[in-house]
Amino acid sequence: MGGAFLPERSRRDGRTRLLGLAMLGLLCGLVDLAGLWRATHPHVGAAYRQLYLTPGGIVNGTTLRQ
Amino acid sequence: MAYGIIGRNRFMPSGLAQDGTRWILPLHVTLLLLLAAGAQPLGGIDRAMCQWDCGWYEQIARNGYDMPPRWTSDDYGQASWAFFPLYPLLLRAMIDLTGLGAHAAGLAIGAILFPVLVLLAATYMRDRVGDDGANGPFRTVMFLILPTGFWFRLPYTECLYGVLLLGMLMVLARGRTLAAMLLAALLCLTRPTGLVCVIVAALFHAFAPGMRAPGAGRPTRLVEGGVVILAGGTGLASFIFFLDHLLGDGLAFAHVQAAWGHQPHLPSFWIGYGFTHRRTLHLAIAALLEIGLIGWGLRIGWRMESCTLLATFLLAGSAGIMSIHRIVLGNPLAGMLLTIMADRAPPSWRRWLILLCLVLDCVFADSWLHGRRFLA
Repeated sequence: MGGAFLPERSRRDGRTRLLGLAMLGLLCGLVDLAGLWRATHPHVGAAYRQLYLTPGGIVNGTTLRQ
Repeated sequence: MAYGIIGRNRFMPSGLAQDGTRWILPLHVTLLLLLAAGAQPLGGIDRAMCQWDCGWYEQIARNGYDMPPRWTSDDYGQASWAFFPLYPLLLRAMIDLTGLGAHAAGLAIGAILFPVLVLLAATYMRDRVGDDGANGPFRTVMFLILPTGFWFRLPYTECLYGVLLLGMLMVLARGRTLAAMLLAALLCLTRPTGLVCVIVAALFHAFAPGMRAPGAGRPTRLVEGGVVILAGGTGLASFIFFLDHLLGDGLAFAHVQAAWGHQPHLPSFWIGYGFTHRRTLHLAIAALLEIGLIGWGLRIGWRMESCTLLATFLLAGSAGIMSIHRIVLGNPLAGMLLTIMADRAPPSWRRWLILLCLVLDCVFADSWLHGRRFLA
């Protein structure tokens, strides 16, 4: 008789697993959004900005050989 | 990766020994000993193997990222945060756990991880193309001695990246989503190309018809693929948070690439550039060979693997031509395609192919040990 309940239990386990994954995914998604926001909002000094965030800001032996 | 080939219920396959996997350790140790013999006059294998980027990884492992950029005229502006943190963390752990020096610890990581990578690749190829007599051992040995496999022996990120990538693909195909999420996050902490590999693999998992398994319908696959992408993003986001805290620029790892001469252009621009400069001619040739290999992979039906390589090629090739050979051909998916290509050659070619690989291994090893740049 217990066997008759197995498919239902299996479906319920499957749904629980998916729900758990979705919650974990939601948490990861929130962290990703925060990371995206931090990545697109640098808060750096003028020297750093001039060197790394300005095109052509770095000239060295490696770039000159390119 | 069709379900019938890599099923959810098969974690470790039976009959591993028939795949030639029994040859992995003896052959690996023999090649390492030969390498050590070649490196002896150069101050020992650990010292001679640590060239180019290895110095950056060791610096991060020893001192962390809190070091100023380099200011000499040749490398002005180059800084450690161009390099992703997982491999230096592993190196640091190996140094602390074993008491080895940084050179030896890097070599030990490669020496331990490479047989694991070969075992994963042998299993993957066996699941992908089936068991067929003598071909399994040939494929395993070929993958182990491929000249492009030389990068896996170096104290670089390639071997760790390969283990994480193949591990993620295999556990994802078996429905072990939590493990796939963890591996995806670690992969994205290893190299900048990690996230594109995760995205392509997860999209194929969710949408490709051949990837659907009985009992795993489209909604399940969508959720599994989606959370793996999000977990990969979380791995990358953790590095972004760290750099934001350290420097105020979460994308510092990308912005500092300008100090290596990397600029955004179409890959065609960089390939053209490579052909017009003698220093980068070999890289341009490698880029064309990679395009050919990816096309061949698509033709034989290795779609997910080829698309992953294509995405890697496009991302790396949009920033420059430097190291394009290592970034694409040093991916185990490319190694497996080359192995399958050799597997499909006439059987009479096999001994010559093995000989060619061994000769090229010697040439590459000699070149690397003497500090020549063309493999870097």
